[in-house]
Amino acid sequence: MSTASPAAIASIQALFEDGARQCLAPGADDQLVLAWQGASAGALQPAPRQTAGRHTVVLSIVSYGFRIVALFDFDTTPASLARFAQATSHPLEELEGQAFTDLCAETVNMICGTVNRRLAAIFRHVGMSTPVALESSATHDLALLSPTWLSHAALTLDTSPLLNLALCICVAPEHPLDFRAEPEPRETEGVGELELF
Amino acid sequence: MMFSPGSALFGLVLGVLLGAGLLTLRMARDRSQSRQRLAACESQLAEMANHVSADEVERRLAALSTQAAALREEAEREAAAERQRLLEAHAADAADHANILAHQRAVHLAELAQVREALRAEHHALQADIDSLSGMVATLTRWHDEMQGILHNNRELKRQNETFSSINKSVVMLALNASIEAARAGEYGRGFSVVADGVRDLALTSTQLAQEYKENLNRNDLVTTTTFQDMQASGNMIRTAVHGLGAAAGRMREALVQQ
Repeated sequence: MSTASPAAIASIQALFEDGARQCLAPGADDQLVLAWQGASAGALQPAPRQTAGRHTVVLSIVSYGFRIVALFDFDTTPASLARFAQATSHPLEELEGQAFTDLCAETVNMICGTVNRRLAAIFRHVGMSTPVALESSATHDLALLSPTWLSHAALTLDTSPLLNLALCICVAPEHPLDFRAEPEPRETEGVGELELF
Repeated sequence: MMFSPGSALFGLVLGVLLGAGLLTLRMARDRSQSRQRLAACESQLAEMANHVSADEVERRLAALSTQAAALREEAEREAAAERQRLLEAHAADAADHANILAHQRAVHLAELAQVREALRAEHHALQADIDSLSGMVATLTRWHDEMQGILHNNRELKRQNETFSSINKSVVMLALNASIEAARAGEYGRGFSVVADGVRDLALTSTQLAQEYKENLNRNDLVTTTTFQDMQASGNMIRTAVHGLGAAAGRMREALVQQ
């Protein structure tokens, strides 16, 4: 039976939080909040099906003993698009069609790239895939991947929903997952300080 | 000039003789012959101190000086011989040590050669493994391309299913229109109405099947895409690991060449 320790799950969630903050709220970390809801395989009931007006991108991070499938579910309503444009410093009027799809993929790539870099400091060998768009219903079918742990998070920026994140952690039975990722030290900006030479 | 105890000449002579005697003693140290000669000298000196003329003293002094010089030369010869012996012994020891060191060096060089040979063999095996793994990476790339083909085909199936679903909806509409027309035809259209209802039922069933087929395709898409990503990410991971192994093998080769 495959297992993932609570510390490992918490660490993975924290890494995605860090990645999302660095990518979507640099310098305003406390405005971005991820409300996690997680359970072992099959026990978690995801949010009600609502596939219209959404865009889902999936990306995988793997090592020898585990893989993390991350599904980012973007809301395409005008209000969410405006927040997304603001968070990514992108002109709203350009967020249409392929440009929106590309920006979603780029955002996912950046968040997961941060996670991958942090995991590579813990595990000797880690690899990351490219992002691929999927139907939004995929969020409800993650049990097909035989996950060891499923987590869902609603990501809000300034208390307004920005996107949903689903993490599917699949662990090989012979490699129980147990690690603890130390929080990355935040850079302190010395605003208005004198530099002495 | 009288030569008597207490005179200056006597003191001088006595000092010289004693000095010679002491020198003799130092030079002949452990040799009994020298001690005997010294004892004789002392005896002669004692005799001279009592009643010996100056000429006799000078004669004896000359003889004693000659003896002292001879003894000094002998002692110097012996010291030189001893130095030579020590030098030869030291040279012999040094030669022995050099031989031992040369032997140990030869043994160590032989052992080092064995280790290097073993390392060279290990390096060849490692390089062969790296080449095999590089081939594995190429295989993963091939799978990656094939999986992309499957994903592309999935998208094509979904597009066809959407077309099929659209046709079904049209058939349902047509069947509905046909039912309406059959109703207008009254008694004459009754049979046609049964056919229209049957067509509509079939179309609705087809629509239901198309919807289920779409959901299955979506599930298939999820599994195929994540499997594709698993292979892609694993390929990236293995490629990085193989590059690391290649770099390590290169460093090992350089170390072997430099030795």
